[in-house]
Amino acid sequence: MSDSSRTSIFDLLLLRKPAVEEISTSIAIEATVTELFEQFRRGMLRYIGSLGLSVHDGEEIVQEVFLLLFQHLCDRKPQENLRGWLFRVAHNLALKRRIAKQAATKTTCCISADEHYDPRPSPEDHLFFQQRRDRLLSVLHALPERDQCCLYLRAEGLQYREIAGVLDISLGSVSKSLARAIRRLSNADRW
Amino acid sequence: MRFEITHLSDEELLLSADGELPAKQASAVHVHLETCWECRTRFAEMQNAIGDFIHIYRERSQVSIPPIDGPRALLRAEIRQFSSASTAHAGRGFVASTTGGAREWAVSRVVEKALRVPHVVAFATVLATFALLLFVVHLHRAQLSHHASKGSSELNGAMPQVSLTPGETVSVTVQDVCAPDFPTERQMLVPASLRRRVFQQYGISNPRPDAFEVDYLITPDLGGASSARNLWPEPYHNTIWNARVKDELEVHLKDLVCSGKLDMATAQRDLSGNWIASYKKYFQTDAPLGKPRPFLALLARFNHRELVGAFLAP
Repeated sequence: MSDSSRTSIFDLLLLRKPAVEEISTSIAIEATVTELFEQFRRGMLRYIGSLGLSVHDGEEIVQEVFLLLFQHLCDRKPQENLRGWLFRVAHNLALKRRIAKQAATKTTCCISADEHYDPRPSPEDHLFFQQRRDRLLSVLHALPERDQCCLYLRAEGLQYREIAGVLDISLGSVSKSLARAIRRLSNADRW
Repeated sequence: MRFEITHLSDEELLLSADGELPAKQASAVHVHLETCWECRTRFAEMQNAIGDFIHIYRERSQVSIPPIDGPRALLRAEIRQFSSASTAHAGRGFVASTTGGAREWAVSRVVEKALRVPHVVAFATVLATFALLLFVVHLHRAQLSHHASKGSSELNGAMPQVSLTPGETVSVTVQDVCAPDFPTERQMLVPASLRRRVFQQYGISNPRPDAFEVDYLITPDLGGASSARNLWPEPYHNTIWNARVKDELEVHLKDLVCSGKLDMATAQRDLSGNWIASYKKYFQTDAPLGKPRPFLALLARFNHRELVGAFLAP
């Protein structure tokens, strides 16, 4: 028996047809989701990458986050601070995936020192930039993960309240983490 | 007379720089900075550190993030698919979806809508009776169709539906796939959310864990993507053209590709088209070469539904 015939019988029985306003709402929500996708995809991929996942994993997670957003909006759930919502869901999905991957291969968090990108003007400058960059990266990697996450989220423009929501910590913890991280980074040039 | 200078903490400086302080405190910090060289220097150092960090952080996106067009189109397609599936399934009262929460979501929507209908109690009894009747009829017909299809079950599910699983690849080179550290299909676990999406696409709700394997059409060993368009639920009960046989073809094709005897695009096409025909072509045979293990094959063939059916059959 085909699936379509089953559907039509049940739909007829329950007099269930998608109402016109339901369809138009769905289209409007799709447009909103697409707009937010265009706005935040890059930042979310950067953030997920900072948690030690590949761009491929990041793309999959971002797709899942925006599908969940579509569902969230269809369900008429709270719509304030969607940016914080997006990063929170992405953060949780990324951590889940990272745990699953770590079970198979040991990966470490965050921006790799091997990802060389150097707009070098001269060999001397290149060496100087490279050394400084490596120093900053080693300081960054030595930070507690929560401090790193606060930095990455702040770099994506999230306010302290949003960061607290994403990481499920207090506002005070956010400012302490950020201040500690920035102090250590600014001390990187001293010895 | 003695002046005591209380300097600002790093936290206060940062909160002020980020506009996170209440207006009164922010203006106090501002006044202090105007008069204190020490704090102003620390403030500048912090700003420099932020600049350095942002510089490193931005490097990531400049080198590795692909263009948005493909992912955006995929998202739109998935939303529409999800949307239409939810609408169609919501009417039936049971829903499978991409995420765990969507089931409750769709059911709650149906309940919510039903409660808004006037005279709901009067209709409910009639509807329930009809639904029960229809369910019984549906069960009976499903049973009949199951028995009718038993004879031709050899190929059942061995091939995916082309519209749902046309096959999808990622951009990799022959050097990539033939490198010893390239992740193999065994290492590419299909995430649970993706498995659910594949089952939903194929209209399978609540599958028994031992009933299906969600298999790649184009194996990741040859550049197959880990996406719903490259996955399909392959029933375990196929005892002839099953996943093990397909693995033999995949290994053979990869050997050919890595030895330069076959180009990767052809290998991918041979898998995404009719892989059984490709198997027959490459191995010059009409039946799988690997010897089936007779006892296990027999056991797999007689799954419990068929055994129950055999006992109940007149």
